[in-house]
Amino acid sequence: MSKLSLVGIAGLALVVTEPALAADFPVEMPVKATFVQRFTWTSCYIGMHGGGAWMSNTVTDPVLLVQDNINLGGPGFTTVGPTTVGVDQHGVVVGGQLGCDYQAPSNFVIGIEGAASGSTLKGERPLALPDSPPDTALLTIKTDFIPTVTGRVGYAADHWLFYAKGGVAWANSKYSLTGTFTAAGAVVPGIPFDFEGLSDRFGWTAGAGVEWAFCEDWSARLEYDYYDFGTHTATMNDVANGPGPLSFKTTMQTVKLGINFHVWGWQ
Amino acid sequence: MIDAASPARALPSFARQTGQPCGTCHTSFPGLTPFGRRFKLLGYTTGGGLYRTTPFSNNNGPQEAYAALRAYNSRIDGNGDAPTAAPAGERGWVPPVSMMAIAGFTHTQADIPAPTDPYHPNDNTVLSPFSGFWGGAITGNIGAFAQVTYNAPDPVSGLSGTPADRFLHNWTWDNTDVRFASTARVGSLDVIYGLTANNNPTVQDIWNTTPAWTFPYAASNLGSTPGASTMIEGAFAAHVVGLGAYTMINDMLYLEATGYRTLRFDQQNSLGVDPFQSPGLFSGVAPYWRVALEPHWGPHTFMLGTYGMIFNVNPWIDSSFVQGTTGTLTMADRFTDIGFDSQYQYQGTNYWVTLRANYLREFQQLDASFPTGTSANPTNLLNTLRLTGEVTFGGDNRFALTGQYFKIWGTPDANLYSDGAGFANNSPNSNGWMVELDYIPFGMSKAPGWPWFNAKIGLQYIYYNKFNGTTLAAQDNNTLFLHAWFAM
Repeated sequence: MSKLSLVGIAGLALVVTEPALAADFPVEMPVKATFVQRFTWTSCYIGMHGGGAWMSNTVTDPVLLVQDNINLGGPGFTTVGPTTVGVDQHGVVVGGQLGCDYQAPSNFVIGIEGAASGSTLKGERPLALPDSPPDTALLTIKTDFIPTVTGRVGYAADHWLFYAKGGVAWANSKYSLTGTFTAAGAVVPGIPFDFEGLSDRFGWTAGAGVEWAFCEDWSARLEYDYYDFGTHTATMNDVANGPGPLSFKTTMQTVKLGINFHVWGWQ
Repeated sequence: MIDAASPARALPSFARQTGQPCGTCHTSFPGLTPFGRRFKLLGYTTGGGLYRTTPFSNNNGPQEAYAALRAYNSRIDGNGDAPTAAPAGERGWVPPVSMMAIAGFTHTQADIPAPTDPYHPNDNTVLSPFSGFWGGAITGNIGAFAQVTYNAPDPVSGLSGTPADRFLHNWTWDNTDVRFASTARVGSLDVIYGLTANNNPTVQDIWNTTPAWTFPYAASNLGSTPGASTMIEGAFAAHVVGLGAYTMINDMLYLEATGYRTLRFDQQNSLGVDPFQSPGLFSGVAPYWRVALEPHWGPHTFMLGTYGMIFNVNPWIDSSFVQGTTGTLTMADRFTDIGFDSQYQYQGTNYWVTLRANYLREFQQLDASFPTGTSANPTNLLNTLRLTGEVTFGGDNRFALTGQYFKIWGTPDANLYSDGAGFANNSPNSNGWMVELDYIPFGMSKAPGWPWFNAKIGLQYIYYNKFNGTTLAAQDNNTLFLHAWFAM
């Protein structure tokens, strides 16, 4: 990279300090040579990333799942109206990516990338059980794997690339709803419950970032992404009390720092 | 959780380091050629690629051994255009980091038991596993193969419903083998010697007959597997750490001794391993031994060996965690595993033929499980047999056809192999066949992906004649697995 920069500077110096030569050579030559040999983002790369993630869930209806269960509250304890609660998760993401870019002569860049992140995203929400006071339930959501396939378009300003990206994403989450239910008038202790559910969510993602080629073969990036996984109904299974449905509406935001090693074609 | 069916790896980071195409080290990856076995024996340190092998320049490693290793490479036919990488190591150091993912379609003869979330009852496409690796040299004499893996979860119906489910993890540390290797001349003997620190008995072995690296190399997370297996077949994979010494004398006689200890409960849990999925904790150090003789002449390589391990295991007091204890019984069960294995490998013009056999016999002395009623017998026997044939052909072993007959049999035990545990007739017996056809589109060195990317397309079918003690409905467990394996 520095070698190429020196070529450009030398070419510029040639034009500025030796004007007499301009009459002897086509004026385009130094400019064209610099243009041809300049840096390009056309390449493929592999790299790693890390950052922070925030996931937002709207859950319908965890109280009903417990209170309407035939072994717990049962139909006689039917909750009036749905209960919707929010559960926020936060954690770190760490992963890797593989992609390829092509830089057009107009400096626009187009590319495709596959990435996968492990995450520590976790959120908890205690819930009151109106039909079984003072019992509560604890709703826990963990998300540990987020692969994506995205395209990106950008504008290259020499060693800087400003880009937007979009594509599809998956998220693997585990849900649990645990606690104890004491039917009104029943003797304590109450009946323990442990509803467990799994999901492999599919959704879309969009984001933007800036990438800097900081030395030969290597670049670093800072990126923001938004994810929407829509609404999904999971089967929550309790081995002792039986299954029931629970609905999750989920979005996520991430801020990631990444580093890439470029192969094939980077000049 | 890694087990005998955990997929193994051929890493682009190794290709970058050595400057060799995949077919130099692998027949059908991760099955090893003679070159690949000696690359591992030399501690993953051999260079020769475009990039500097290590970030350090003060030690170039055992150069004489590297030269001998390259002599193996010169014998290989059908190698494509192996890059000369001239001059080797000219470019800067690149960390030997790789990634791997397997995306697979699974069809089982019978549907998965409900509830099946997050999967369909059948015909599922799943991305699992996904792994990150350090694969290559650290210094001229020290190298490592270290892996972190994401495994997709079992269906909801696979959860136990006990408090122990909280220790299930999807991310885990996986196969890890850190080595020091060097060479010496003792009298008239050429000796390669080294140390290995690893986390899975037989992961350090250089033949694909032993459990950690045996066929099948990729398996569906939704397919059924027999419930009985010997301890050395992955029961303590990633639950232990071991330190051992090995030597290869005159490029023919391999000797190794390694001692293993189990990690503490909290250490296993922190590394993403569910401690309750192993039988318990070791009482003291568990010794592992290995002896193998590998004569080779012309294009023929033959190996005859034995290996084994003795496990004194204190079983968990309550593996359901209902009592909230992570303690173990004071009494210990003793498992003595003895294996005999053999391999014949023929290198033809642009093809390889490999035949492998492995027999394991486990002597179980159940001094802890019998008094507590976990087993119905004070002693049991358990046997495993695997007979494998593999043909690879085409540029850099582009196509591979592998078949295997497997059989598990042992002493009936009404408690260990009960109906509730998924067995019939109190028997651990299973047997069947598996066959796999693979295509490696970018195996040739002149392919555009080398040495940064590789892929393998595999079609695998497993047929059970007997499953967990019965032939009745055994075929319900037959599994078709079409998978694409990406490494980068």
